[in-house]
Amino acid sequence: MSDGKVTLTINGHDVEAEENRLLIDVAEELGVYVPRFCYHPGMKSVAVCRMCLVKVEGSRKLLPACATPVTDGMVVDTVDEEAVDAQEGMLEFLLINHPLDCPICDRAGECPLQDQTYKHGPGSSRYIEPKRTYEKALEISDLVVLDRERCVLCWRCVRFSEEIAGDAFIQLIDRGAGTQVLTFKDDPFDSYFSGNTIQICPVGALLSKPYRFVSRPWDLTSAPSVCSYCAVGCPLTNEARAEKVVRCQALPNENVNDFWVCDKGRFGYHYVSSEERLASPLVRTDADEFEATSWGRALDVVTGRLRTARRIGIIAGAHLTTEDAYAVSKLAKKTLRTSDVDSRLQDAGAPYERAAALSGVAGSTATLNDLESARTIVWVGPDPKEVLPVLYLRLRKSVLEEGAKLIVVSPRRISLDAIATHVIRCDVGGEAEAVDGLTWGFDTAVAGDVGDPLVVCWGPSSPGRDEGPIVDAVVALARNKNAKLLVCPPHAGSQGMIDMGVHPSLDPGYTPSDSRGKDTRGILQAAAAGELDILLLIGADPVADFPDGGLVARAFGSGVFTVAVELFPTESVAHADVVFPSAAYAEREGTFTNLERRIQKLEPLTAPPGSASEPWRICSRIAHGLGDDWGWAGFNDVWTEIRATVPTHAHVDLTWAGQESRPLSLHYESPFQPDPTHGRSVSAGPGAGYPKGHRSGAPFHTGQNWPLSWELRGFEARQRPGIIPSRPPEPPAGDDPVSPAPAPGAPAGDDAALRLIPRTDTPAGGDASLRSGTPLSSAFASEASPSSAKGWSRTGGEDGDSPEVKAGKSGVPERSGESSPAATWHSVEDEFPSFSEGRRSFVLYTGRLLYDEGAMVSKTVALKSLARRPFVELNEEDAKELGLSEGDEALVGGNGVRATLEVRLGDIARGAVFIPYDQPGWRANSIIRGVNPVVEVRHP
Amino acid sequence: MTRRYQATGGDIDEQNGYRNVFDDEQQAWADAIVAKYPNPRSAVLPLLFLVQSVEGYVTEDGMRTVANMIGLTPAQILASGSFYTMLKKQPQGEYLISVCRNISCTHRGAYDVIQALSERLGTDAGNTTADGRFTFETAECLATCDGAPSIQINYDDFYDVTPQDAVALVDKLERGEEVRSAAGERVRTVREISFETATAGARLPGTAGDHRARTVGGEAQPSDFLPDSRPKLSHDEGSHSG
Amino acid sequence: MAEEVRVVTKRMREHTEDSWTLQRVLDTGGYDGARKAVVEMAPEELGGEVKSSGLRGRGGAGFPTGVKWSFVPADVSPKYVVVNHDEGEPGTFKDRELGERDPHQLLEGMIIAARAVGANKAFIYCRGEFALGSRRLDQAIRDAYGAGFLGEGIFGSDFDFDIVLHRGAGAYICGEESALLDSLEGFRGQPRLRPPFPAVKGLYGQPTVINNTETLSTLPHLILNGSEWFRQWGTEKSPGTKIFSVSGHVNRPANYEVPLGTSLADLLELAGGMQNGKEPKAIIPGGASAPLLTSTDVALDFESLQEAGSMLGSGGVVFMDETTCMVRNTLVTTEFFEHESCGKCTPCREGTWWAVKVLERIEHGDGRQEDMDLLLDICNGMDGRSFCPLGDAASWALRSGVKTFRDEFEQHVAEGSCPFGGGERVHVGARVGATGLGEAGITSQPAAGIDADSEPEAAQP
Ligand SMILES: Cc1cc2nc3c(=O)[nH]c(=O)nc-3n(C[C@H](O)[C@H](O)[C@H](O)COP(=O)(O)O)c2cc1C
Ligand code: SF4
Ligand code: FES
Repeated sequence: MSDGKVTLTINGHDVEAEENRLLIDVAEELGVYVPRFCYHPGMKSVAVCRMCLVKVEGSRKLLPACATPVTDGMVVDTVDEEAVDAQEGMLEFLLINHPLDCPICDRAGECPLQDQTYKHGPGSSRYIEPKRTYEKALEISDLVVLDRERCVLCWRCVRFSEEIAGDAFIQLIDRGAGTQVLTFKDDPFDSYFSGNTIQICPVGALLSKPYRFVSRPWDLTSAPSVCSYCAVGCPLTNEARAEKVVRCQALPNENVNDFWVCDKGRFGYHYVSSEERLASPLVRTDADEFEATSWGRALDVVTGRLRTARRIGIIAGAHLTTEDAYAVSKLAKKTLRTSDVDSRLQDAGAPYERAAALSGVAGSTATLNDLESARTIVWVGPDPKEVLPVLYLRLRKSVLEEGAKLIVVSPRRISLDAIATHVIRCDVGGEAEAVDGLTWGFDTAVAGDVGDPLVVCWGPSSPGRDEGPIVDAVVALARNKNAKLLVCPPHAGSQGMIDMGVHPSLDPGYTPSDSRGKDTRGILQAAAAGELDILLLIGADPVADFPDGGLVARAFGSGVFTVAVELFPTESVAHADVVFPSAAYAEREGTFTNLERRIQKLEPLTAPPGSASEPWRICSRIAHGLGDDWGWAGFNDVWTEIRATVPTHAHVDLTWAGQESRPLSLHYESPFQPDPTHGRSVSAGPGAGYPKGHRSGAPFHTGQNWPLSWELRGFEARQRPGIIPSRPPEPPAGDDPVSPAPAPGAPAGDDAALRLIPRTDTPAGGDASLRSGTPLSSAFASEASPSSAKGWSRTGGEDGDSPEVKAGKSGVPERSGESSPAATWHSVEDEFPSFSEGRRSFVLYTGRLLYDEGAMVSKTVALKSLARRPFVELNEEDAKELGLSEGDEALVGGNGVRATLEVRLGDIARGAVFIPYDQPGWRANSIIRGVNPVVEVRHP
Repeated sequence: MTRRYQATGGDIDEQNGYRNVFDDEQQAWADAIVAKYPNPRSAVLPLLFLVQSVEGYVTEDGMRTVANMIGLTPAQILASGSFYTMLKKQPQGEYLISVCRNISCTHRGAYDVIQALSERLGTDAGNTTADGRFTFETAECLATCDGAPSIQINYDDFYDVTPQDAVALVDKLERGEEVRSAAGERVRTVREISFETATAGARLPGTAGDHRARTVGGEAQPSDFLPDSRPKLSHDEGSHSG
Repeated sequence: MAEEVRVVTKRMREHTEDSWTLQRVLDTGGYDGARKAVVEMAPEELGGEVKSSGLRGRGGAGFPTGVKWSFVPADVSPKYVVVNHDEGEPGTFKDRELGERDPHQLLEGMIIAARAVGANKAFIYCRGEFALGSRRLDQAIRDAYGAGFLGEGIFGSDFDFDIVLHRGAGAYICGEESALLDSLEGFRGQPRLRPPFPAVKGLYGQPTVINNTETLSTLPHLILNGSEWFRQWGTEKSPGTKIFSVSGHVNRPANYEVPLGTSLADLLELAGGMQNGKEPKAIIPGGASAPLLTSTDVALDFESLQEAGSMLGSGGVVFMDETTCMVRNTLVTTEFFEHESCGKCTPCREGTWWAVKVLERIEHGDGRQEDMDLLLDICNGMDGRSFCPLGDAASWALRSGVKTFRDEFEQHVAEGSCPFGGGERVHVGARVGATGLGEAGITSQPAAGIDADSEPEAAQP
């Protein structure tokens, strides 16, 4: 056959299929379900379960459909007597040693083995001997429980951890009938991706500890969503029982996440139903206490202030949706007429706008799929495994499966080093020079591997440093080599914020603002200098996130009138005057734009607590209170307006961004045919879970990238015929359905005033040394830690200037007046050539770890304990000079604050230290002052 | 059982505390073993024999030592090691007596030998005697059917063994006398034979026959290629080696 | 009167005291074949000679060696030669003896094979339990290096060749060539999915020739004397001589080298006939995997045995007289396959486990009439459906036991005991889990809890 296609016959139907595709996939697309346990479309075939044996004419033996590529003229019968006999025989074999504990198995009801048996299995067993038994329910990590008796030895989990995640902590041990899945002794299944094995385990052998015994699958309601954590934007389903999210699973999308999500995305849903969620508006009373109030009153207070305010600063968090972003931008730039608006906190100052120099887009020109077709990938940024975990999987796949060459530029060893073709270990800030070297071919060995197609990836790495020169170098490289650029901002909402103009110098659609406003640092500096009348924090927590703790303290210390829209009573909220409760991602309709500018839609599943509401709605009400009626009643109104006013989004059609709602059998493979009258589901059996033809790019993905070239759109249109138009549609009409809005000013609970901040100052200098496990946000816990109010209380007071204040929440002493040091770069050698008495200055290189003190982790019981204690990572030589070794304690100081941290030796540039940004017990931003921070390390 | 830990995502730089079981001399042998192969992973099983020669059996620390040396996770070492019968994961006796129980030997009286040894040693097959001197096991065909029933003591063969012969052999070993196999070989202790198995074909650098310096491992190897039937691994990923 | 034809076994039979020493080898024409192959012949000629000789692999599958070599792509390097010296097929002991008594002959054969396919490195995968064989092979390798037969520019040519000795660690399945490769690479010894075949992608993903010890040991003689000479023995499709390992109830169990096509009766005669003048009741002609024969009236070559419903396999011939309990024989073989199943695929792992349980029951007098059909069903579940031939072999051996001696099985069930007095349970050791970790081991007891309540009889899937 020509054009790589073959024709074959399956159960009497003629099918055309691409060459080399697997029989099992082709049959499935035809609606013929071949039972299977070991085959998974996201991984290589191993053909071990032998469940998928089918009759192929001309072959003496039955062939495993999962390992047999289709060939021209093949005649296949999957329901041949012999094949069915084999399948039933295999089922009988699998069942002889399978326990009969279905009634207490989480998988019951969504178990392929159960379904298969129900459909084909014999009614009784001919096996009368005792079954093989193992110790049941081993907790192999804090997240995963293993029941080896139920295991059908399909190898999926083992293959996933070796092949996909690259951390082989779960393995098959022993042999023969004693073969079992296990970890090594007491070593935990220490993978950031372990939850995927739970989802792909075809039986109840691997179980989610948080979900165990929580619900029966048929009691769950579910809604498609998108992970609200990082900028990869993995599509998910949230599943709820009794109005509470109890489970979250990956939705497959070969363009984004393949089949996977990280454990933070999978298990981090608990915060949604946390008891600590804000549920009604709060206003600070004259007695300096928070009091729950009605929306009407809270809005009145805010609009009253805004009417008179002239100097307004708005900081929005990057976990908000695209609609929130548009609303924030509109509130600032249109209603309040200020460009002093920004969304960059940890990535403060990251000059995304400079990426526009390349293509007019302050974001990526590359898609995630471009990584796989790239010959070379250059990575300049943080450790993607910690910050953008599924991007790490995609990079790993590109390198190990597709053979892309990976060049890593980093001052510190990151997870990618292990698979990189070249690792360029540079000084902190030396990335720019290293990238220039690639551009101009200085290092011939490395430059020789810089080939076309090339994708250059950049993401802001160490909070608090100036990424400008690095971005410029990266953009120059991309331009020079005609490469695509993948901009990797940190959070789920980061890209949407930039797209929608929550940026001091960009308006929606990357048009430059008329006037250049203040960025986050500028806004905080203005506040600290008493030059701000009102500060709006919309999903933003500068106390936790902004990489200059001192500046934040001074900003709040100035007493600026602060309005906060938040999920939780964060430490920043503690300084607010008016607080609006926000709805969380599982409670709302909305879209996220991921790092490849793919818009994907969230659907609401549960109701927000109390009267909490979407930030865009809150912005709209504030504007309404100021006499600017935006006329938004529902989500669709926002989108109608975005399409009409933001040029780049003019053609975005949200029906493409949505995810098909699928039956509950979403994630498991069942031989049952879904009811064809339900939805558009043409896929039979497991197709309900695994979209057809994953590997060959058949219709299956969510969302869309934009602004798409029409060429690319044409491609996607071929993939989803009838769904994605291949020509530009007519400009959208304005009459989208309207969703009902909750009545404004819905009555707040009239409980007594909430006492949020202990007003009694405890003595400064109290022992605030590192205490393991004390969350910083315990300012809101009933027993506040001694020094929590000190230095943070909005009434200011005297700052703790004791030089020996160790790490603690009060760790940021006030410094009056002066703004941060100039953002110029000095090499360590220039400025700190000497060290004496075992102390020395180091450039601080920081960055987040996956499990940190953010809300997703710290408010999620399952993940909380996994977060590592803070540490300081030093180069071995540097440590030696300081007389420090692995596991020692070291004093780390900066900005007048000191902390005792555990020493780890690592592969990091000399003269630099790495300290994780936000680990339980201590935040690195307390010792950061100004841009490009320097810290001092010494023997305690 | 609950395992509390701080997740590192399988951070390659995470070291688990363990005792390196090799001293300098043993390490030199370990290096010589690794040098035999184009890909160090091939050395896993010989290295586990080396662990067995040092520790008496394959200990947890031993597996961690090998894992760190080769750049694999301990779980991967366990996965490989636990597959094979000659690598013992539990303490074993100084002498391992293996009685073939396959067809030829069974038909020529192996069960009588097993019975006699069980009585003499006071333990069923599969166990180690209380004094820790003997481990007694049944084995699959040892390719000595011409001498059925046959047994091995630490892998040296004894042919046409009667129950009385078997008991006499145990008596001799217990008295500390030298025992010679059918081929006249001196019966080794478990540690000796494990060392021999580990180092078969390995040459210390500079010794006669050390041809490796020139050729073995000398040719270009596609470093990360593994056959399609198995997931590709990158050898230093996910390991605990620093 | 049947006679041996000693080609491969010549040296070790004629010089029992020192056939493995380099001196003796050199005195008896050793390395002449290898020298000829390297110095006088072109690689293609070597391949052609082997192909026209019709030599078939002696490891069990009987695949023509020259054809196998021709699959090796010429333009990929490096390539490897791997010797399958992992002999574990019950009833077979020829490779062990060849390794112990004539290691140089094997090295010579390796040189020829490597020269023919263009490999510069070879591995000997030596079964872990072969302590003596390993010592002798290791010494032979040292001596061969010393003599310039291995290493750089061997025999003064420009051909470099190295041999690495590798020891197995105890697993029959590693005799299966792709499992052997995984084991040699440091993995669990489990068979690989094919294609690709080892000749194309084998060790470390490179083209690899895997041959059995006996196959390679034949090569020096074949190359020295030519394919015509080789074809003087055997049949058209099964040429040459072959070593048969004869054991069981015979008077002189040993390895006998005879031309292929020799009758089984002649082989029995060579081995001194049955012990105590008894008659053979059952014969395993080619290792435990081969289905049973009941008559010695069959020629020992690949085709004839296949026609007789069995196979030549590895050439391990076990004779059993009428005192043998065939239920026990079937149990022992099936236990072997259960113990050696790698556990990778469902049918072999669960099928052998289940069959052992049923057979134990029958042998110990607790069998049921329907058990025989159950066993045959289990065989059907494994045969042709398992991942590699081990599961097939297990089913062949089991099926032929049940089918050929069904009356004996039924007698066990009817009498509720073993008519051969073999019903006593001899503890043969912890079968499963013997390889494993204490804390993770298997217990065959019903678990406390849910499972304990389910009556075995009422077990529902
Ligand atoms: C389960 C199983 C066990 C095997 N065991 C051996 C063995 O012990 N020795 C051997 O040479 N071949 C064995 N083989 C055959 C090998 O897979 C392979 O065919 C042989 O080594 C090729 O060498 P040859 O062509 O020289 O015979 C076995 C095959 C299977 C399926
Ligand atoms: S635990 Fe589950 S995924 Fe892993 S091998 Fe067993 S059945 Fe398969
Ligand atoms: S063998 Fe094909 S799905 Fe398992």
